[in-house]
Formats: sequence, structure tokens, C-alpha cells
Amino acid sequence: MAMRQTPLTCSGHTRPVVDLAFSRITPYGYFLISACKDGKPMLRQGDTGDWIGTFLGHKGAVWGATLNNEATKAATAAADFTAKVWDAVTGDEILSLAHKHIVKSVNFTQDSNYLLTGGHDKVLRIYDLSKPEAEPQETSGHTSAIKKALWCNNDKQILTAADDKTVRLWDRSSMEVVKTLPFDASVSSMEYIPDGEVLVISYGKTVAFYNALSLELIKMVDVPASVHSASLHPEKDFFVVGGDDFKLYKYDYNTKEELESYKGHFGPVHCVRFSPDGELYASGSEDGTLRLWQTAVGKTYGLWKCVLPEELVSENSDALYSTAPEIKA
Amino acid sequence: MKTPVCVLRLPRGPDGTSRGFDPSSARYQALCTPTISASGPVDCVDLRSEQRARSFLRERYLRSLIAMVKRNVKFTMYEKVKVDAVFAGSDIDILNFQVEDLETPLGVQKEALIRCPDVISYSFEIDSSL
Repeated sequence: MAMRQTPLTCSGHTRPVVDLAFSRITPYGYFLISACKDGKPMLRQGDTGDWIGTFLGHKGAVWGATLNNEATKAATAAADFTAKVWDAVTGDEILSLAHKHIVKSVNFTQDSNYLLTGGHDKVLRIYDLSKPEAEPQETSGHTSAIKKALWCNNDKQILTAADDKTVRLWDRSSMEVVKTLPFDASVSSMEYIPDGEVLVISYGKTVAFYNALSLELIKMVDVPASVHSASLHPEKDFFVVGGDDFKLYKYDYNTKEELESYKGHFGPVHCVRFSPDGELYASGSEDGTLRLWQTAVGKTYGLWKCVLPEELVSENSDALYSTAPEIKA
Repeated sequence: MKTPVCVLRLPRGPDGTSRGFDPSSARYQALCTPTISASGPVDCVDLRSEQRARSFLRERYLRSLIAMVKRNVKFTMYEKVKVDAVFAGSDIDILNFQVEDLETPLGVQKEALIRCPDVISYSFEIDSSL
């Protein structure tokens, strides 16, 4: 019997959630960090959404947040003109890196030794985290604010998306632009999938998939509403889209067919990401909440439990809740 | 009519009293080493004496906070700010100090919260009779 999706609402933030990122799978599970305009990014257990801690220290809206692969370090980019590096186990602030304007994006290399930052001052910076006192390597090139800066191709190259409607591929050693992709509209999100070298870019009402090394277009899909964020499933079966109409859309990546759409958020969806095992995806919204959605609806995973109809009315079902999808934060 | 998927419980939210990062969690215990790193087998004696020193210092700091209550404190803060106030208390993570009669260029603020990360240093006089 077909089941109806029950999203799990993670409360705690008091302003819009603008960015989120998962870690890789660690011996302690995987983790999720959320960036919020309330200036207090939060760390959560990835498969349940349980709050672990809040990183306190920023004095402005946090626009970008990321975790290193092992989820031992976190980095955040904020409107207080700093990017901060945190110990993701204790919650302590390790480093505060001063910038000249709002910082929008932060990204660790695979070995967590370097941090890439980009923001409104249009300058790409690379910090050597083993030498925090040293000046970062700075590179200019974009003609307006950088929205997203990501390491790619085994940290040998860098991908950036900016308000100048371009996505650029940079060579890390020369810091020269290797390739530029122009767009008609501002790029709203960019996701890099190392396994398979796929780049997911959203702009206007389109989600486009590119080869991350050559920047050649693989395919593009038009969606019903203005897209704010899109994410590709690790096994490349599905991709999910969130945008202005408050809904989440799930598409078949191979056939480009729209499979499902879900209502639930009370505001535009700003960010959406698949978990590293592909079993769920998380969305962050203007309504201040994060929601976790199952990829395979009805499967037992995390806090979701597959229950046969007979079990729902039995004596033993005290611990199970049959909840309506719109759970208030 | 589709049945909604059952959930065991809702995700836990912030506890409202602290910033989290539970030191008793398995991950914290495994990944947080004390400042004395062990190059060989862990030296229990060193760990014990470090822990004793930490306890002593923490207790002394907490007692200093108690001694500070109702006293005039001079705060030196960033942006060349120096203010005087009467200390009322601190929160559990020592992130905010509650003060009274905070003397600011705009006047005396009856009650205020000072963010500890904004403070560079503070000083107060201990009653010599104690």
C-alpha cells in the first residue's frame, strides 16, 4: 500500500535557514550543519535531525556552513565579515578569519588542511589551516559577489559561482581561470558530486547537470517554480529541487520525469541536500525550519518506522505515532 | 487514502539551557583528548594531576564570580570601550554576564547583558576584609 511522506521537522532556528551541508559517513554516523540568519549555526545528527549543538560566536547572519569529511571541523561564513572554523566535537571556535565584506561560502579540502572562502568582496581566498597566522592566498576575477566556492577534481581545481552570472573553473596551482560558463540568470545554487564528477547548477526555473571537469552540459530540466537549490542523489537515481513555491520536487534523474512533490514548508525553500547514503534529503526554508524527507517513503530508517496497517491498532503500538505531515515547528 | 509514515518521535531540538556538544556523548569521549597527549601508554598519574589542577582552577574562577556579585566591575572591551557596571551574575557557559547600572555614554542602563566574547578583560576589587 502506498505511504504518504512524513517529513521530520527540526526546530531551533529563529530566522530563515539559508544553507545546509552534510558530512561524509563517520564511525558515529553522519552529521548535518545548518546556516541561519539568526547567526547561530547548528550541528545535528544527520539521520535523525537530533540537535547536537549550536556554534556561538558570529555577530551576524550566517550565509554558508560546511563540515569536513569526518565532521570533526566545521566552517561558517557570515555577514559579520568573518569566516570561522570550529571544533565540531566540542563546539569551540578555533579560528576567526577576517574578511573585507560579507562572506558567503566556505569549503574544506579533503584533508581539511585548507579552507576556501568567497563572498561579497569578489575575492577568492585560500587559508592554510596549519598556518592560521599566515595571510591567505587571494585571487580576483569575478566581477560581482561570489555566492559559492567549491574545491573539485581532488582539490586540484576550484569551482565558483557569482552574481555576475558566471560559473568559473580555476586551476589551484596557477589560480587562473580554466573555463567560464555564462548564464542568462543568476545561479541560485551549485553542488559538486566528486563521485562521477557531476556539477548540479540551478538558475531561474532550470536545473542543469554538467561534467565538473570539462563543464560540458550533460542534461537540463525545467521545473515548475523558481529554483533556489537542487541536489543529486549519490547513486544518481533522483534529484530534488526546492524553490519559491514552498514545495520540494523529486525527479527521476535518468528520465527527467517529475515523480513527487511535497508541501510542508511555510516559506520558500532555500537549500536542499541529499544525505551521504542517499536515504534522506534535508531542506532549509525561510520559515526557519529544516525538514528531513525520506527518499524511499515508508522504509524503516532513522526515526521513520515501517508499520503494517494491523500493527497500528494493536496493543503494542504505544511508541509509534501516526503524524500528519504538517507538524508545527 | 494513503497512510502517513509512522515516526518513533520527533527530532530533538535545542535544550534551551546550553549550547550543546554533550561531553558525555560517545563521540566526544572518543575524539576529545585531554591536553596531555599520550605518545606512549596513557600516564594515569599525569592525567589525575592535570584533572586536579583543572578542578582547582575552575573552582577558583567560579568562586571569583561569586565574589564579584554586587561589586563594581570595570570592563575593557573591543572597539576601545571601557565601561563600569555592578555584576549580577553569569550564565552557565560564561557567555553572558548580567549587570546592573551599566555606565554608558548614553546614560546609565539599569539592567544589561554583556556578551563575554566582547570582553577583553575585567577587574574588580576584592573586599580586603574577606
